[in-house]
Amino acid sequence: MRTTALLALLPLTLAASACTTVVCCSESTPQPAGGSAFEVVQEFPSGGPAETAWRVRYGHATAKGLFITGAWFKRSPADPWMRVLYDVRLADIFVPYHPGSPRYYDLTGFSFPLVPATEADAGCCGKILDGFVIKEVRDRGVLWKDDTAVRRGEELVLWATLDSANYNYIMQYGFRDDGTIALRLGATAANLPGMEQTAHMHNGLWRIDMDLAGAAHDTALVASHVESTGSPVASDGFLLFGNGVEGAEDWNDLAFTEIRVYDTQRQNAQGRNIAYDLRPVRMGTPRHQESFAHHDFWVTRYRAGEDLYAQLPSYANGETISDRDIVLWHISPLHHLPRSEDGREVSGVWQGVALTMWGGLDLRPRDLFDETPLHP
Amino acid sequence: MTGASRFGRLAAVAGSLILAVPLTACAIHTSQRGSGRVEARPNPFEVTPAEAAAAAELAEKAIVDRELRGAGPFYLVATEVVRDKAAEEEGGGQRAILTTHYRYQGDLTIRTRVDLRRSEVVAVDALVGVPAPLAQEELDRARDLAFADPAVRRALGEQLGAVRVEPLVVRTADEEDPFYGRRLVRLLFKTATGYLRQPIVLVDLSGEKVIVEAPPATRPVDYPEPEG
Repeated sequence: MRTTALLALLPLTLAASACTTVVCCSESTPQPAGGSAFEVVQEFPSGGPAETAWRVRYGHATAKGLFITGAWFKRSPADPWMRVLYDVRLADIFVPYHPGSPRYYDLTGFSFPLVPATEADAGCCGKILDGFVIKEVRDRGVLWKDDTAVRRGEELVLWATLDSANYNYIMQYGFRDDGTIALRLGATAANLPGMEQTAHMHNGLWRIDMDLAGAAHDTALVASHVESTGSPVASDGFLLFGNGVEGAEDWNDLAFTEIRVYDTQRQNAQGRNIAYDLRPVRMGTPRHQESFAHHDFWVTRYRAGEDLYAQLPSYANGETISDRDIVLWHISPLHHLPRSEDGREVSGVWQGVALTMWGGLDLRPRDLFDETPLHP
Repeated sequence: MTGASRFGRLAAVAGSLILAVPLTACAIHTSQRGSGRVEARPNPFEVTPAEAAAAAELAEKAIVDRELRGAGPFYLVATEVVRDKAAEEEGGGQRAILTTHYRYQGDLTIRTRVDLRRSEVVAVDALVGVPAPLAQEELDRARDLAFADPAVRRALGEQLGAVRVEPLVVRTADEEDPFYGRRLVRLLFKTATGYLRQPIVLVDLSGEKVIVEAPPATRPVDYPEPEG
């Protein structure tokens, strides 16, 4: 009798001991036989049958952290893979302290490695790839709702942690079921020894080599939306980024600035050019003494070897960027004003960590689909 | 039916029910515990020792040929695999390596792109005033200078032989800063319990000087006094 009861509870007990949190994991797609190393394929919805899918390649290296070396999307099972990204990474992480010094470049100024991944990193639902990279398929809440009809969204997330001496950076790449790409940098761990209370910035300097439907034929626009206190009429506008040549633009919160990249050749069934909108995820706008940090967005023509964010002003040398293979660059700031929650001194040693702050950007599809995706 | 058996059946039903609920709600599956490691595969972005040696030899010859070697300290500070879109699209088995050298004279960072398949240098870029990592020899020198400094020895005391030293390369964009254009390193001292807050040690490798800085004020921001 009691044995029956115990046996009945056994599966529950086992589940609880295997994972102490609530178990409700989205399912990883079985990887195709013979697939490339450092490649992940994920279909959505994770429980099937597939409606959309991502194929993502990644890499990692000392002083580089985790980066994406290719991403392809399927709008439907019948569609062929369409390339969206050639290469996305943090070109650098610029950390200037408010007194003016120090000013660290946490990627190009160091040889920081990745932190080996642990089961605690992976949690119940994650999987460790190659000892350093975590793969998760996450529920991301309500994708859409229409009265009683509802659809929850999912995303494939690849992340790893850079060991920047006292500090850690979480480099995270999310590939969502609706085609959105979420790039995030998380800043955490111990504040700078001896300067734990000194305010500073962590600027994620992103390099985004978009190859929408292939490398050629991409054009960048600056999209703006303006409301007025003097008029009920609002407006939306689009300008060629840099009048069609390499250059920089600023993010204006009053203009809802976004950078749109569209393919000049490929259209959806509604006759609209397929595109992606770069939307910043930010808490403010950084302006530092360094000239690369005088603007928020840069667009350059793809050139092999042009990979240093600090050299951007020299890369933007007047080449045309209309209907070309182009690269987007974006500064994504985190302002770190230390607080008691960051820790305290105990016998000459700092005890405690700064809780993770997140910044980054979203790349959101526009006119990529012919209709509402993931909808009956 | 005894009380015990009733308990048993009830518990059996309850146990199954509790287990079924999350399965139904998720409609997916249970834990994919993170222990399922993929077998080790060679990392294509890792440079082999043989590749590093070959790339360094080609790069250093190109640097000398272009009269960029200059005088004074000169170090190979990084070797990495870089991508080449054109070569990848052609499907070629290229292996492009980027070496980075740092020359103290003129605060010069020299980036050399090498095509190992053809054993040729593709490009050499000499850049003034850009970040460059520290070579192991530079870290060793900085540590030696710091540990020989009386103020540092005094500040570390008994922990001198126990701390692990980690370097942070410091740069400034301000031409008025006395350290502008110099090879400046902040040394962190790590113990088994964490990083020491003091001493704050900077080593100017360009001038072979050790600076022990006073800690900054601890209170980050003062709130304005409320009125009234």
